[in-house]
Amino acid sequence: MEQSLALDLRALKTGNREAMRSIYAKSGARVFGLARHHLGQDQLARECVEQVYSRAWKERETLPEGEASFLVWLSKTVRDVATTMPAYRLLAKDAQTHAAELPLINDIPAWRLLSEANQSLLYKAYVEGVPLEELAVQRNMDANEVLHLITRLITQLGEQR
Amino acid sequence: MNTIPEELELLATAHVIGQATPEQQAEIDQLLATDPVFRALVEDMEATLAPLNNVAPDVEPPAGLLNDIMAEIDAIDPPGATIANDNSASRTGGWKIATLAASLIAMVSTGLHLLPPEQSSAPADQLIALMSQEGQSGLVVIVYDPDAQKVVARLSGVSGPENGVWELWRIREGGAGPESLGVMPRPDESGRVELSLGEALSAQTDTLAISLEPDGGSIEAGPSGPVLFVGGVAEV
Repeated sequence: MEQSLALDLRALKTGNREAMRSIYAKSGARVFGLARHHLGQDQLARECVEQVYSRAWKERETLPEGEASFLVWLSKTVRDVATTMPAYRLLAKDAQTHAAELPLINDIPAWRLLSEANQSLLYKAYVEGVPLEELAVQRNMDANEVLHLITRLITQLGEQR
Repeated sequence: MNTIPEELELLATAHVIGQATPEQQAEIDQLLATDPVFRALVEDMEATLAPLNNVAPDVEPPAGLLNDIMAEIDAIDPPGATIANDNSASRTGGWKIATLAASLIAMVSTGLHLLPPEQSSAPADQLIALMSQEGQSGLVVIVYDPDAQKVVARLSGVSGPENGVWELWRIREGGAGPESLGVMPRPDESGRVELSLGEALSAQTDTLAISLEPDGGSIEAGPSGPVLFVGGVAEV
């Protein structure tokens, strides 16, 4: 029977390399898909994914133990790695077009209740990793105001869960 | 009723969207370790935003990536015993070298002869970039000769622009943004393009990109048209 991701994570903490293979088998397609989403290019996505799992290995003792929180950790790490890659700032120009095709997030009922501008803000900050300072310029606000607004939007979405 | 101080909510948001400053992150790490209320707030925010992580479809990773990852891990923490499917290429330069080697072998074996003949025994200080196009199989192979201060590009499975021009860009790690290396002349019948460079390339820090621009090139500081090809600079 296939071992659960949570058990893999527990085994990984002890330095078990097979656990890393199993984690990759369960999450690799998701991580590579996210990396491609951020970087729009296979070779860069490959480099990003390699860095993400290397980081998981280095930080194995402090990784979240729950399956859901580990998947969030993976997504966040993909974004962190992708946005610090030299090519990202160039490619993000193309990625901005993704914001124009904001997906309907069916798992968050309140998503539809947000204005398009606020959907775009949250999407760019969380999914695209656009810096707060840049979002502030786009919204004619300061970065602290943007952080306040994002906090309010997350609270609003959370209340509908 | 929400009894969490606003300052903590803002810290949690900065953490969840991955934009906390190093100073904030140190405070956040401390709070996560010691404050169950803060930890619960962060977990709640992460759960709220988790569906946004699913906007990108799963994509099957390329073959060999797991081996590269495991080799990287072996390089970080050498195992007591040798791992059977070790990939020594990653120890000495990561996937770029492995991909480069695989691609060059493939090129030679298919008789494409992408490298210019005069560079078939390339000096060690020459650099190469394999530039690919999203969703396409075509390649642009760029060889940089630091002595001649020029690059020679070979097109494989792709033709030059029908309208407009290609512009070559360098993205340097730690740099302010993409720097134009010039508008590329149209390729000759054999798919060869030569371009003199005023700037040197580095295998440690540089990524190259080609964008499609109106005749004369981008009038903006960076590319104004779509980015067609991207590839890291590596040693030959």
